[in-house]
Amino acid sequence: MERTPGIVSLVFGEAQNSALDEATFRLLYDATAQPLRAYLLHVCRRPDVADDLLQETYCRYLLHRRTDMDETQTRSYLFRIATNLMHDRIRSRVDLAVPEIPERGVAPDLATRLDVRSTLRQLRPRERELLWLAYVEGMNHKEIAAATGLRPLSIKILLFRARRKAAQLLAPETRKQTRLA
Amino acid sequence: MKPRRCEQASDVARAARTGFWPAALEQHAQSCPVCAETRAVTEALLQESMHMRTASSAPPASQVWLEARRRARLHLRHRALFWFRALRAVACIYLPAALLWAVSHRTLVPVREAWKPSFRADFSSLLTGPAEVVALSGALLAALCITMGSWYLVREARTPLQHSPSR
Repeated sequence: MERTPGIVSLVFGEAQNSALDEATFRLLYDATAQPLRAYLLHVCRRPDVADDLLQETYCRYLLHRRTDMDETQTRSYLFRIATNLMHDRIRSRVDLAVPEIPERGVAPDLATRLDVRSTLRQLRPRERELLWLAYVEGMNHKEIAAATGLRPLSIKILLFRARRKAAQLLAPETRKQTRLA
Repeated sequence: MKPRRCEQASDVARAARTGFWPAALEQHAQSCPVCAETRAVTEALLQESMHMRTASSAPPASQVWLEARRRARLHLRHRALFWFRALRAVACIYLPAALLWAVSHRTLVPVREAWKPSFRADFSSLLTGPAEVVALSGALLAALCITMGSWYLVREARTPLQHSPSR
């Protein structure tokens, strides 16, 4: 997927033309960084790790980006890099469970929110990824496949299972049992 | 057993995201178990998403930009190093081989009193056939390594660690 500029393009100056200037990068970053960070934070649960992965994602994008990508492809590509980096981090057995995302201020629905969060935490990282991309980012199966590296046919069944599991966990009686436990 | 799919599930998810619920869709979401599930999950995730976006923000673009430039420089330096390491490997192979070849051929040449000019003449006359091909390929490999290594070093130098003037 990743493609570095070949020697021919380097010699004939294509790489020079494709160089992204800071202003353009700032526009891209402003449009994509916040959703990407929320996604990383939702899956890995640690703000420090999420920030680290976000920075790494953009560094890799700038280093290996393709010039022929449109807006949607760029978005999918960024999510793909972020997902791969997150999987590497999970595989390296870094504890992603602690510390918890800090709470700032006390909202009236804080208890409910914490309840929902603890419920969603019971999902596996892959399930959290799929649900987030489908329902928060509004990606279709093809886009999710491009962002996660899974096959579009697998997305359908995995998403169904993840949604069912999440719905069961979010059901009031399950949440009550979890609280009591 | 609950059905697995509903054609309107994506519309329900979109409506939950945008907050725009046509009456028919809302009614359907209440009666269809798949859509009810989709709505519950989407709303929980959106609630989480909203909290995450308000609780903390992404690092500034300028910080990420500078870090990316630093890494780009490092990447180019590593590439340059690859070619200079290759040059060292080529030298490690060719220099002893050339030395051995020169010594072995020097012994075959009769020693003369005015040896310096004759050595030069003899040496060049010996550098024919396979030896010429090997020597030429070594020189070409060395030239390639130097050119490529220098190319990446020049590109590294042209990637300054500072913000663009247009910023």
